[in-house]
Amino acid sequence: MRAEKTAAWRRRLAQWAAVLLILVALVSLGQKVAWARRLWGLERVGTDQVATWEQRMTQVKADLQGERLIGYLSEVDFGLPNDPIDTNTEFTLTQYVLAPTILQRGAEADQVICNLGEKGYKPEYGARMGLILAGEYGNGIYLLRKAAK
Amino acid sequence: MTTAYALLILLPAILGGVILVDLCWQARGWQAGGMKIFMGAGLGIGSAACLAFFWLLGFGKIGWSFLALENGIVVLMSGLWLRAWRARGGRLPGIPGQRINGWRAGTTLVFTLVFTLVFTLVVAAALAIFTIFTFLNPNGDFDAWTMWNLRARFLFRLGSGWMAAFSPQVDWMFHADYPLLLPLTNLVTWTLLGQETPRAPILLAGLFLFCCAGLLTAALSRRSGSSALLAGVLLLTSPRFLDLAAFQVADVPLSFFLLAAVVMGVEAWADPGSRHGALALAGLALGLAAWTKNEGSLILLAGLLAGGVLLLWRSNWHSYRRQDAAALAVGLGLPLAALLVFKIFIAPPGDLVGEQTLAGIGQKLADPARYLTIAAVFRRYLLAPGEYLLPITPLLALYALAAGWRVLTKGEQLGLRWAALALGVTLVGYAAVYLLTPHPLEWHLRYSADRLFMQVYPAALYVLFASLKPPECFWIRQSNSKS
Repeated sequence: MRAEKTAAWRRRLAQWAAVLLILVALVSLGQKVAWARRLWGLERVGTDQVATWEQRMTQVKADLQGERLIGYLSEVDFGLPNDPIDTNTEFTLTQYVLAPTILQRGAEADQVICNLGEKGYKPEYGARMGLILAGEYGNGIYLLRKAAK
Repeated sequence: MTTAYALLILLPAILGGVILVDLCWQARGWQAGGMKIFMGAGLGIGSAACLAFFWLLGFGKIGWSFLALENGIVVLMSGLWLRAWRARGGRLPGIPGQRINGWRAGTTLVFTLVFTLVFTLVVAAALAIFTIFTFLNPNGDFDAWTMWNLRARFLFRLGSGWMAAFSPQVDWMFHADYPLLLPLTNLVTWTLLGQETPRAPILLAGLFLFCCAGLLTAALSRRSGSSALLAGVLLLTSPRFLDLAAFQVADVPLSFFLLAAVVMGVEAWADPGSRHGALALAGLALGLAAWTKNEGSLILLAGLLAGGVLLLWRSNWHSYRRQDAAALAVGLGLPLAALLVFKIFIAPPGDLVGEQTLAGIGQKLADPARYLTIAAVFRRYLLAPGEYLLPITPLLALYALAAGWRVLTKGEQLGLRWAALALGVTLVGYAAVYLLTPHPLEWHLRYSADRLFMQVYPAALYVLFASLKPPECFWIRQSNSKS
């Protein structure tokens, strides 16, 4: 009798646990669907980070066609305030756009992309590293070259 | 239309994989058929990426002749399949699907309908979420453009000079040492399409997401239909799993190969009649895991170690003969050869080993704070993997306690123990990698730990639901509910 009661109790608990699992799963999915609906909008198609960066770098890419190695400097290299987006995300996006040109952090290469966003370029930045301004592409993106010795 | 063409380009690999699985593992029934289709698709795509690597090494670039090779292999394998089919007298192959003490899926119509309806809704919602995210982010997320799609882009744009993609001058953030399954698959599709379209990586990500869910569901449905649907629902409702698929990163494909290895490993232990074929497929899946991502090498070692431990622990381990090891090695051969050639001769040193010193390693091993930090993060993701509304592990534990373990055959017990041990060893291995990481520990954990748990999640769901009594047992009162 007692064993039967225990078995019935366990069966009931298992049923409730299964229902709870399904409920949690469905509500989690529902939240994700709501998130996706909020995100959705035809006007937002083509405005993702990569597409925006591809557009921003179109001219740079054309000018650097065929280069094997390019340097890369950003706020952090000049001691300017920066965040991980400046330091890492935009660096990786630039490499993605310019591939197969290899993007190397620092000013070792003959030509260097300088990405300073709103902070803007000042000639003394390049002078510190023996570089001069070779091109300005808007959105805080510049091309620097090694200054002639 | 581009997506349809991309699928056509992948079709020979998918077909070849399905035929290969059917040749190696001759289980019958629609559930086994579903398993073969989902598993074959992934294994075929992975194997084709290994062939593409050797083709690149031999001929310098991918072209239509590579597609001809793939088609030739499919024709050859179809011939072998037909021969095997005729040898069986034209009947479908032989081993019946296992069921729990007479239980059949769909014991009552309403029960089956409810579960199927929920599952169908979940699949549709998962597809919608995947589609919306990929419409808005066709190039995937950070890891996709930093590693997988970037490598494919390098290889595609460099053409016959593809080796330059692995120059030591490439910044460590781009992980040029990572294996090439995803980049090479996209390279083949892009090359044959003649354009560098994001549709190819999107298609690949979608295929692996639904093949993973399909394989989990089909594999469990050999034991219980409702357990299968419940596990499938849990996987496809995990917000993090859906994210990772839409991000076009390698974690979902890796989770697919781990799941395939575990499923075939369990079948190999459980059914001596199909052991060799299942072992070969398990070996192939483990090898392809290693060819997908560096973590896959750890999974491969964990699988072999767990198998070795279980064999030593068993008193009649002599019954596992050299042919078993040979079958495993045959499956492992192609992906492991590709991986070794790539790692030894082409890839630059990885960021995790490149700058380590013995003194530094000793210091990290002796630092108790690192152990505590890792333990805290692992505890968090063990309790709440997948970013559900509530921590899912306590709910699964409650369900397991109430449902109880089902009666397992000796072989099934061994197979599931092997799988659980392999997954445990994998997690311990991940913890060890964090312990020794040259990167700041908190940063490394923050950006990768949850993904590692998602890699093992589908396989863990399989092991759990294959071990438990199915919902039919406690939902429908029947005379045979004693299982």
